[in-house]
Amino acid sequence: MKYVSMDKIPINSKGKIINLNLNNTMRRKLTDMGLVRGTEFKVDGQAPLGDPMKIILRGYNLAIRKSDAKNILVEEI
Amino acid sequence: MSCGFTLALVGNPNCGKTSLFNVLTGSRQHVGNWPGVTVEKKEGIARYQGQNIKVIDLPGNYSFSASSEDEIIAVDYILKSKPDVVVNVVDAGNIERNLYLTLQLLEMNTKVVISLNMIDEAEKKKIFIDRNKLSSLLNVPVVATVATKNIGTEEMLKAVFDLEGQSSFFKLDYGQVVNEILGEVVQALMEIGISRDSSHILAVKLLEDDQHTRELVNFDKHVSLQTLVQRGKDKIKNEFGFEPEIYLADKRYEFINEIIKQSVQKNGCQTDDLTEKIDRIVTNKWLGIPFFFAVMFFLYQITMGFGNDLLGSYVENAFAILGEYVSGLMVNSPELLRSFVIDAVIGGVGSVLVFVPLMVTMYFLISFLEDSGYMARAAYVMDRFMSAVGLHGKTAVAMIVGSGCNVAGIMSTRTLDAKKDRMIGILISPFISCSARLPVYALFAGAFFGNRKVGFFPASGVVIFSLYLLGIFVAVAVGKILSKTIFKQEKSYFIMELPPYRLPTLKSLLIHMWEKTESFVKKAGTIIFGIVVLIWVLSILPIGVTPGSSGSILGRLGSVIAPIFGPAGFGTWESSVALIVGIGAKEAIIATFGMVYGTGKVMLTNVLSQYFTSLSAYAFMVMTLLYSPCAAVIGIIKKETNSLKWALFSVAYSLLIGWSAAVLVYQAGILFGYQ
Repeated sequence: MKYVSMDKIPINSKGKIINLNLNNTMRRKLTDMGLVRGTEFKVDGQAPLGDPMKIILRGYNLAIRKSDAKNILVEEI
Repeated sequence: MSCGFTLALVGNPNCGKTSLFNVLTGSRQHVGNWPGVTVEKKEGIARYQGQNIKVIDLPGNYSFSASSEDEIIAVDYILKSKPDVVVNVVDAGNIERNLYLTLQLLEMNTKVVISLNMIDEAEKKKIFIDRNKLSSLLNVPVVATVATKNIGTEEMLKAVFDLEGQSSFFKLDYGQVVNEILGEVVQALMEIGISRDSSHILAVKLLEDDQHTRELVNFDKHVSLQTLVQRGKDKIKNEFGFEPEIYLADKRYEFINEIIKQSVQKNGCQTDDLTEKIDRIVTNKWLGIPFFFAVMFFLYQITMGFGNDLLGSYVENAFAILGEYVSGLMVNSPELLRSFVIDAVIGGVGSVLVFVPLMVTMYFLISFLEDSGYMARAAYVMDRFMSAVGLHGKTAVAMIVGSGCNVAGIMSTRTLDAKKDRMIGILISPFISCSARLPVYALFAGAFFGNRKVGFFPASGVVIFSLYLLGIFVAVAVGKILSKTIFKQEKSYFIMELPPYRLPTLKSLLIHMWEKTESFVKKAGTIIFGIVVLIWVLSILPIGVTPGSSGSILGRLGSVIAPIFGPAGFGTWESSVALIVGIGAKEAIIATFGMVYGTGKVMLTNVLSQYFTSLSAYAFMVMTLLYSPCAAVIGIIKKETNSLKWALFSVAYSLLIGWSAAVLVYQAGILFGYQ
């Protein structure tokens, strides 16, 4: 199984969260928004200037900067 | 049951909580689609079967982890003020994520009724929820509502009343190991005097390392509690291999998944088709940014064209007629009284009220952008651009909101989590051209650029738009400097929900519009009127002086300062006085000109051309834009940064920037041969 960071998942592909390698504040913020281990998501697009990226999870849209997504370890599915 | 009964509304941002509040209380309150728009505690009175219920609208939150001020407000209110019942508003179409907050709320051991809101939208997305099942799984009443259409609210209030006296205690099963640890911590908390009701949630939060909870229970002072919590955390880490907070969150979502499996039936893709379609255009690679600027441009063109030029002229004519009429009535009154009524009251306040249509139009449009969901996209689209200069995408939104009123802009920076983003957002907000400055521009641009056109658009609109851009430019430049200097060490991040687009109801737009306009009219009626009277008094003293002349106290005061503004092209005592007064409230600048030149707005346009050239008028507008936050904004900066130092800093550096910019504009203009 190959793990990559979230920002490496191409648009329209799906992934599953493996781990959040972030500091306490950020990790809690992501957890609050529904990103925990095992959460599946789909990369839906990116902002006009290439950043932030937009993902769909738990039936809603979430925007996240690629520099933040870099610290989220995921598995492409 | 008396009026002492309190009901608190809790829910995620964009769950329709504010709509429900409006329906329940009929009060005037802002409904926004921008996450976290309800930043202040709002109260109202609801009526149910002849009884009064106090309703509190708590800030929209995704969780009670108390990492932002909004979350702290909500947690503290529920734990300390103990409302009789909490109504948890859940967006039925987004139930999975919304339930995360619900679980934390239930753990607070407070009485909860779930309002499954926007049930119609969910059913359109083919999401069907078994309410009885959900209710039995969570052990709380569940009522379906559509707040915007006032469906289900009676039933919800009935559920609230039926609940009185019943306990709805709920304990999430975290597994044997954690349950035992929690039990020990709860025991220890009760030994240090924490009530049984709150101790469970506080124990959970201590295991999660929640800073605010530590402060609540004076964690630093209780060594045995510290040891116990630390031992518990270590045990969880050893047993499961992750931090306790990860484990606890996993367990909550596990439970949520189980609830969803048993009570929710989903068919189809669940995302909103219309939202997808709009987003494809609004956040398009090529169209996204032009669309943002087009929105801004039309916001101003409509405000100026429709609001000011068309509607404003009616009010203007009405005041002109009123002035003449009263003047006729007072032919035989003493000169001083006549001057007071005509110049101070009708002239001063009238020249401000003339701009009510402009504000009404602008607030209507801004409310539309907020309630529709576009504001979140604006932050998303602009973030890369903003982060290049050290700012956050949400700061772009704070700027848009700030163009209504800087106080509102500063308030909206509360949705920024990182301290760096927040501080910078607050400090640069005053450079954004607010609607109170628009009257000044409208007057000057009308007088000096009124009859010209730039291409298809009236020149006055373009001049005003250029000031708006200048404000953004200065804000961005100052933001960049601040992020590279004072706040160099702090971190920033961007994680934000993009809510579905919703067509705002006309009612909510009108409520919001009226709320803002009302506060402006009140300001015109109190602060501005007070200033006008003060200025009028200063302009007729010492007794015997020609009213409003350079020999009056006012004139002398202005004359002392005037030379400073010489290099900027408006070194007259009248301008100086207007600028001093403008620190109180920017709208009062016009009223002051009206006073010292002794005319209403119509005549003022003609009089101004004797004292200003097009160039010095532009320099004066630049000064008005940048020179100092108004009294209300200085106050809010102090409040939001919790520091007088920052407030004074903001005044000092903006005075310097404003003066420099005005001088630069004027001198450069002279150099290039403009007059």
